[in-house]
Formats: sequence, structure tokens, C-alpha cells
Amino acid sequence: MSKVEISAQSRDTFGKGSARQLRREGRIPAVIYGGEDPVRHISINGHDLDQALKVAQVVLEVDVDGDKINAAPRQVQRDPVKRTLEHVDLLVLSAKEVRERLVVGAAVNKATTRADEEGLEHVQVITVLHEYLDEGLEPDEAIEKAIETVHEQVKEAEAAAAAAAAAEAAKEVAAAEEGGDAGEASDAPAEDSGDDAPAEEGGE
Amino acid sequence: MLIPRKVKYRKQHHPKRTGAAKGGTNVNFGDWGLQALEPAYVTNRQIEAARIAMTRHIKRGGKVWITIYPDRPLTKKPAETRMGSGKGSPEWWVANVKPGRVMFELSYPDEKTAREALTRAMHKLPMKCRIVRREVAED
Repeated sequence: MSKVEISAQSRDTFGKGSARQLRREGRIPAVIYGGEDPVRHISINGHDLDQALKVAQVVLEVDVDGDKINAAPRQVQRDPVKRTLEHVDLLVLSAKEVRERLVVGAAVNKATTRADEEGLEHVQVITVLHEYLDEGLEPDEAIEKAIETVHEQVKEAEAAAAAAAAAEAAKEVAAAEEGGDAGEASDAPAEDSGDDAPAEEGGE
Repeated sequence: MLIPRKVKYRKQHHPKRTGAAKGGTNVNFGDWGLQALEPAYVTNRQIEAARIAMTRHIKRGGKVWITIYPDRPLTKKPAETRMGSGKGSPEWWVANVKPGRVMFELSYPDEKTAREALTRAMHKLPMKCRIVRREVAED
């Protein structure tokens, strides 16, 4: 399931000093907004939040001092090098939005499993799946079409790579033949020897 | 080689090398990226060398994106010159790269070839780097 329960504490200290203090304690500063409720500043256990964010299209059931709020991550800030969490914006979801998100989440999980079975890239399949879901297709139909489309894309890419390799090989053979002929005819250097000049220039 | 066509001022102060990248930290165009782990000035010659190393390895069938641009001039005074008499003449064009910045992106169907191409590019650059792959957005 893409619904995860998580507990949070409200916080009343702000700024980089208190945010760093929270991070040192293993908690991540976050904010919940949206709907008709006022904005709430909270902190969440870093490890729990990190695990929850690995779930596709996650719906977080955040327990803030006894109040349970359904929310989705709106913006996730991470350290660019260490990839640790720094801050998370959570958007309050309505009951309808929760249902829709859970359906999409289930479809993404299913598509990921299918992608593993078929040996395809997750990112590629999920990107195409979202396009089909946005068009209004049913999840199962969208998954099948996404898998088909990605198979076609992979085949096209492989064909293009093979054609390019063949063309490269043919070009090399032709160049070798030309070079051989030129070598027999005169001592002038082969015409394609100039190709390496930019590499030498760039490599210096 | 990448070089600005026109600049407002020929000579600038040295760019700041502190801090981490504020943007351009994700792979957005290709499937693979080369991410800087240290700050460095990357010259246009180094960018060109890395690009050539990559494109020669993948030959055809892939695509390379360069996501940094050398828009900062660095100056140098000639050797054996007495101090004073103004700032030296522009000598290099550099990109001020900070940790976390994705500098090159690559799209290629075969993972092994793509990794090897990026490793070859890495050897042409003046800082520690790592290979990253495109991720699904977390929101």
C-alpha cells in the first residue's frame, strides 16, 4: 500500500539554528499546508520519513499531536551531495485526492514489478505510465500500453545503435581501403588523419 | 570550444568557491549524469576534452548534454613581470562548479558503455565526481 502512517511533533522554533539542532537529533523540519486548516510547522523522524518517501505516490497519514492529517510530499529538499533530507513540504489531501493517489500508487507499484520482470528501466516505464494515466486510461490498460511503448523505444534505440555501429564499421573499412590505395600511390598522409587533431587539442 | 560571444566586462574577480550547488543537482535530460563532489573551476578545454572522450566511446546511438557553461574569465599576469600596472589579461574561461552540480548528462541504451564513457569523461575533469542516474521525482 502507498499509505504510510508517520508521527510528527509540532515545533515553535524557526530559523537555521533550530533547524540544524533538529537535524542533529535525527529529525527533519517540515511544514504542512493546504485545505482550510492553518499552516503547521512540524518535525518528523528522519529515518521514518526517508523510508516513507521511497514508496511511489505515497500518502502520509501524519499524526500531529493526536490529529491525523492525510498529506503528500509537495517539495523534498535534500543535500545535493549526501542526499540526506533537509526539509519537506507536505500538502494536505482531500479524501478524493487520497483515493486517486492510492490508485496511481498501486499502478506504479504494479508497473515497477512488471518492469523488473521484463528487464526494463523503472524510470522509463513510470514516465510513460504517467502520460497514459493523464490521458484517462484505466490503470491496467495504461500499464500494458506503457510496457509495450517502452519495449518499442528500447528496440528502436538498439536498432539505431546497431545501425550506427554498422555504419561506423563500414566507414572504417572504406577509410582503411582508401588509406591503403593512397599509401600505394604516394607517400602523402591519409585524408582522415586530421580527425584526431581536435582530440589532441582538447586533451592538452 | 565553449566561449562567450560577448561579455560586458573583460576582467572579473575570481568566482567564490564556497558552498554547494543551488540548482542543477538532478539528471533532467539524459539517463545518466556526472555529478561533481568537490568545488573546482572547469575550463572550456576540460569540458571539450570530456565531451570528446565521451562521444568517441559511445560512437553513435546516444546523446550528450553539457549542463555547465564556462562564462567566467580568469586572468594571468605574464611571467617575470613586476607587480602593479594593473590586472593581467584574460587567460582562461571557466565554469565555477560547486559540489552536487550535474555537469554532463548522457543517454545511451547500454549501461556498461554509458558508465565507461562517463568514467573516461571523469578522467578529464579536475575534481572528484560520481556517476548518477535519473530518478523518479519524490513528490
